[in-house]
Amino acid sequence: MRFPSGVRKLVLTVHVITTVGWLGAVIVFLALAGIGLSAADPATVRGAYLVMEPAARLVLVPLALLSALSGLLQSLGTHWGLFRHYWVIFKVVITMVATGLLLIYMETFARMAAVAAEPEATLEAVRSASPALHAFLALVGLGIATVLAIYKPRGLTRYGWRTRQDRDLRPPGGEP
Amino acid sequence: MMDEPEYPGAPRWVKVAAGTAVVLILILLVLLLLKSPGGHAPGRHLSLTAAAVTFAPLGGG
Repeated sequence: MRFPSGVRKLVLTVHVITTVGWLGAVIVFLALAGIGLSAADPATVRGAYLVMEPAARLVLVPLALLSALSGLLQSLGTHWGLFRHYWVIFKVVITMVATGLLLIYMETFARMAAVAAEPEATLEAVRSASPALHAFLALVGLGIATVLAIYKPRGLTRYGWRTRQDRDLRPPGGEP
Repeated sequence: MMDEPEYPGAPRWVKVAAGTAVVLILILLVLLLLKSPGGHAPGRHLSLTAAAVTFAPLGGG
């Protein structure tokens, strides 16, 4: 199934906006995680971990889901296909894994917020290197996905190769 | 009858990237198993003190 030009451009626009937005949001989370680890002011440290959960729920999760969905639509509705090119497969896997890990990690955000909201918890108990590590890994993964989307390195899968051979051998004017 | 050309195989960048991904996943799994036998449980991201505060009974004690 191929999308008409207008639909294809709309889905591509949504995909670029949500993916770049997701990348930007992850950079903000990396900064928040750094503030949580390094700030001296107790209110700032607690605030950093308190704000992560709602910010992730309202920004990261919707952007990740929209990016994954629009990416799937974009590959299925264009000549790129989902399983024809290796770069598309790598990008889909990176996006799906990152989205899945984010959804799992939401529980960790909630737990860290609960600790940060607990007045008896010491600052050492509130601080955690985990968000910084996860944000860094997400940044690397999404960075690789962006590079793949821009450079589109060559390489057909066996399925893509067979599809191209079938298309090339088809007589002109035959069934599409 | 014309012979179909043979599939040339995956390019080198795919093999290198897939190999690197497998190695990284294996290292990550080993680290996770060494750190927590329970796997990628969210609770393992908390320090012991934090966990104690989180799971302490409401009435104290």
